[in-house]
Amino acid sequence: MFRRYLILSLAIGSGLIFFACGAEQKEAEPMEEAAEQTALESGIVNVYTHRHYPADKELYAEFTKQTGIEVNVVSAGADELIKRLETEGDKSPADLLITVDAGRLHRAMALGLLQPVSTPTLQENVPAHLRDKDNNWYGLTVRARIVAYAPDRVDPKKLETYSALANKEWKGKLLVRSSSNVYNQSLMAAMIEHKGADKAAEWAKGIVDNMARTPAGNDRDQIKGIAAGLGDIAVVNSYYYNMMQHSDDEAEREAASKVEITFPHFDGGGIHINVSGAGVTKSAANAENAIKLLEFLTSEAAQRKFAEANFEYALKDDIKYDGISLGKLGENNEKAVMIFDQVGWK
Amino acid sequence: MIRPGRHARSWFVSTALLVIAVSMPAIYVALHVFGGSNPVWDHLAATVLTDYIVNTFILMLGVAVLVTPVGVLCAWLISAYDFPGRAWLEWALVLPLAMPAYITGYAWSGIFEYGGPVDSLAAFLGSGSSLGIDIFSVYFLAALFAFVLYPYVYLVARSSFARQSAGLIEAARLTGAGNWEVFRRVAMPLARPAVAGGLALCLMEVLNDYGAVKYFGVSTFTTGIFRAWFALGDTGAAVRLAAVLMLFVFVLIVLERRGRARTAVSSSATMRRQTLRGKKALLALIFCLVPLSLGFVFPVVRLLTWAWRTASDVLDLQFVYLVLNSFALALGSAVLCCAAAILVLYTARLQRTRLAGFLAQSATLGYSIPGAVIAVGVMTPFAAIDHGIDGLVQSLTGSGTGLLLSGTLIALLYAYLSRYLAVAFQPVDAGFERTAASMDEAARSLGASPLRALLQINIPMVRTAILSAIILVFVDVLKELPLTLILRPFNFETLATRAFEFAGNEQLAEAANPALLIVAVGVIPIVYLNRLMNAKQAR
Amino acid sequence: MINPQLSIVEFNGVTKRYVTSEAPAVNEATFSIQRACITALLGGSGSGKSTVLRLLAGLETPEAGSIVLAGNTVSDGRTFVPPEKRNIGLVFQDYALFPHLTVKQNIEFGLGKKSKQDGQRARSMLELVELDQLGHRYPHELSGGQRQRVAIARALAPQPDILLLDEPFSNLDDALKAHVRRDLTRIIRTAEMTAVFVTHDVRDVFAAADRLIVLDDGHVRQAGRPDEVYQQPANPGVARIFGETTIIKAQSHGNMAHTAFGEIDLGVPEIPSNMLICLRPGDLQIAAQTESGLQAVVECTTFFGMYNELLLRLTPADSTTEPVHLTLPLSCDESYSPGARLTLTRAVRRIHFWPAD
Repeated sequence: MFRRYLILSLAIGSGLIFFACGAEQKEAEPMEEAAEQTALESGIVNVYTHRHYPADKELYAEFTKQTGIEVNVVSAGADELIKRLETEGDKSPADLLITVDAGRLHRAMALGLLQPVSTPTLQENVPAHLRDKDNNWYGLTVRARIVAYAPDRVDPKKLETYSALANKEWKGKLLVRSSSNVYNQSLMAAMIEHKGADKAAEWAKGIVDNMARTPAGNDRDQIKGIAAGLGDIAVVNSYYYNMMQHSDDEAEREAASKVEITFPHFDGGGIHINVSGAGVTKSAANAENAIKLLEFLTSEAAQRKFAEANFEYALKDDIKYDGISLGKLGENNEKAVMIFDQVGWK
Repeated sequence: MIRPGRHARSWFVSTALLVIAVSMPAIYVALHVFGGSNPVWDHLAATVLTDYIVNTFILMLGVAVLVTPVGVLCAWLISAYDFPGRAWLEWALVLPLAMPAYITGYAWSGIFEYGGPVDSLAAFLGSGSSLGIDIFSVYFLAALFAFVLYPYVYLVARSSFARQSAGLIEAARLTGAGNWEVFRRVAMPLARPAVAGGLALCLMEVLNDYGAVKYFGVSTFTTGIFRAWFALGDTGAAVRLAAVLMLFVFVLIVLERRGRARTAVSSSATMRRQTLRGKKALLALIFCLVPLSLGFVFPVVRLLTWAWRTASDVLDLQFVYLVLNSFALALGSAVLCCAAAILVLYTARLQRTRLAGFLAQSATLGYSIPGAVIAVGVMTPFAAIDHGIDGLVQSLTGSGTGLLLSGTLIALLYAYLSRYLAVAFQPVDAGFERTAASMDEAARSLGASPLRALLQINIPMVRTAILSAIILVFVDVLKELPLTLILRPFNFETLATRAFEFAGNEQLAEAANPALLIVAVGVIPIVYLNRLMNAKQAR
Repeated sequence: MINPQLSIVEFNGVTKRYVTSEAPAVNEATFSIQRACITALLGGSGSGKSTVLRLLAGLETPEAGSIVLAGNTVSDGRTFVPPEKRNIGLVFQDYALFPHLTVKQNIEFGLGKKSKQDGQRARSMLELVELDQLGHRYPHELSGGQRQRVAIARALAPQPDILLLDEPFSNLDDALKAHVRRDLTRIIRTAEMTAVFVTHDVRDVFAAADRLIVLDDGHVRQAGRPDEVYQQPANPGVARIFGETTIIKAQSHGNMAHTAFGEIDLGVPEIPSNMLICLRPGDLQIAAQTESGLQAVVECTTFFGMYNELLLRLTPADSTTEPVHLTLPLSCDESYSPGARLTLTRAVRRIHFWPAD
């Protein structure tokens, strides 16, 4: 009896001590005043990010090593982070917002959460079409949303355009994830930009009719779905395919080996690209450090790291993209979601 | 029944303040319901709302239909019979409680995926090509929820059977009723209110889940809330959905409470277990093994195979910090929730007025709101307070304070309190109900103040209930994701956020490591909880 | 023995209504309780006797009236002294021993730090209730009677002004009851304590109480020495509380009471013209047929070991009056066969009656 309570109270006690220490240590950081002071002396930069790849963490560490500026991170979904920025308002401790989609950056900008920054290095590192025209945000990496297919069942010549995905011949053969996914929302936003809302809605309806199953899972699950024969074609981001090819899981490699990818275009207009990108927040107390980090992440070395570790395209890779301003992805986002709901893209 | 003296009033005031603070996010949500006309709401109502309702309904129905027989029958087998493996199944059957539903979802998709164990087995058996089983359906998801959540029903049913009078069961047997008859006509009807309570808890978990439904592409109310709030940027519509959800949950809470109110069967003698042999014993064993395997063993094994492959890349010293961090955070918030529950319930006990009862009820509202919505409900008032303080200090001293509370552990703990107070409430409330009012009165008549009576009499007397409450909140916080994710301070990581990061990158194999650690940290208190409950029954 | 100067408790027009019921549980109760007496609150269930105790202890707030305890007003429209400040000792029906504390810890719960440290008080309390050897035990390791003694010791330990006991004998079987009653009175007298206990059993009252307060339907019906109240109940309701009571109408016929069942001498020289006669089982005896008395027919004789009990039907002279039943104790070697006709006369010094209009 007594021993049990002894053990229990010891456990609770030690837990509380850890907790207290942790709390003390953590609480100190967001104390803005303190942060502001130390920011100028030792240098910190506070990042809200939706990118939480190991490669990113390594790059932050490298950045700290080079500049002495410490990188503090909160990672969560972009939507939630924008909401947090919005609520915290002009006192938000965040200096840099990183998302995995230009649409979300555009929204943050539209909400007045970002500030324009510009340096020659940034202008040089980031091609004009991969950043906001007013320099509110900059792309970090480029992603292409492309089509994966089963080479034994599908002729890639029939998949040259995104429009072709809606053709009746794919009925019951198309795999795609949920419309809650931002990559799909941006693809749809681009479609609206290219074809107008009505045509885009028609296309989306065609996609829904062709679906092999109710949208579910992630991009890798769609590729595996093709390998498993659940469907013949799938809409995915290119790097997932590459990652699977290089996976250390034999089953994933095997699945990828049964699937090939093709790069469709908007009826001659190039492929649909998106960026993961970053913008300096309006409330940034460490704007200069944030710019430094931005410059670092767009630098050649960092770009190479992104490409090697994540198979994302570097900013300067030559991709035949569709030519629309990435900001449009954000502008059309709401319309895209509404169309999804109307045509029943779950 | 002791009515307010001057110091009872101070109990009341502090409870009222606490309750108002804790229900602030819920109030925030409720206030938004009365927004003006709303195009996004109209759009949702015209397009997907039916879908959300149908899916939510199918999920709830599916879970209810599966969870009830599984939970109740397992509990009956464990309570009424002796068979090989019974002793360890008794606690093992609780284990799925340690599994976050979304992790189980990933694991099952990993089991059925191309090249996964099922496929490989099929290939080995000579089917040649992939089976192409598609698990992403609402029905499969309902089954998945059922096998993760059945322990709630199992636990309440088991303790209800244990409390049932042996005399009653024996009387039924003497009338010539077979075991099945006894179960169907005596034990089950007596346990029904308790089972309804456990079922209500399961359904609340289903309603609030976001991770698993998103992965499975099943749009529920919660999906709708997220879509309206984030994708369509419309707080009003999101909150209206949340309010509808709150209504659902409120009904469930009422059911749960009524269920408990009617379980007043008690007896000192417990049922004598019958020994099963041969085929019957084997059947009982298999019946119990099925939910345990589906809800725990298979997913854990799948996670283990992943973790085995990736552990060397992922596991590092930082994981020690993650484990300690998660453990401390979960324990701290569990203790906090429990203390708050005790304060609120004890005040209600001191006063026994309608107002005190109402306050106690309001404190549990947060449980009905999805985590991410609570997060916004927490951020908003905190930011307002912070800005107020900042402005004040700025005007007095010339330099501001910045955000003092937002983005600190305080905000996070506050959010947990808001969300999980209800979880701590249930056992503590039940414990207090079992303590005779004369105990308090005796203490008071011997000169003890209400505080002394609480500390020296009430708390020691319901200590097992308090421990259960702490453990339940602990396990919940350990698994919690959306609140932690969005409210945490810089560089603050837990096992759950780490698992989320990997899963977000579609690195499920890597995510298996933190996920398994969540399970491991959660299993220990769950097994302990089970022993507590057994000890309580034995007494 | 009864001296109003020595009253320790005063109830003045105290009314208490529970939320759950329309009728007040206690209705304008006014009475006092004497110091150094054992007072019984007697009443049936729902009579409000326990509520009176709880009001006195501060476990309930009255909605009207005032309560004075040991010279201080503890409850009226303005003041309410919480139970922990009233210095009362309370013994609950279920004893309410703290299950997680030992007997000694239970007894020490109400003691200040000082007396707790030297342990003297707890020891003397344990001696008083004759449980010296059991201080280290937990409540569940004790028998029912032992538990009650611990509860009493715990209540007495802080030297309260008054000891309140809620149904102290109701949880005990008959064999134990008499013993416990004797024990309890001994303990209370040794401690020179004022005590109030609640009971529904008149035997408890006679065995243990110096004074009796009869409650019925929330009202105080009568207060006084138990034998006085028994012999001269204020109304039929009070009389019935003491057990089987047969009440019959009578008119005066000289100094005899004339009833529908015959005439009877009440043992009182002057009687009112109309009255209600109160007959208890011991009040009558069987007389020779020639004497005048109440006419009865034997229904049956029941053997009760120490005595026989005769069930009689009083037979009216006219057919308009309903017959009434009463019982008569007999010695165990007497018995009558059913149908035998008997005449009954007064067996006690006087038979109680209430004047009626």
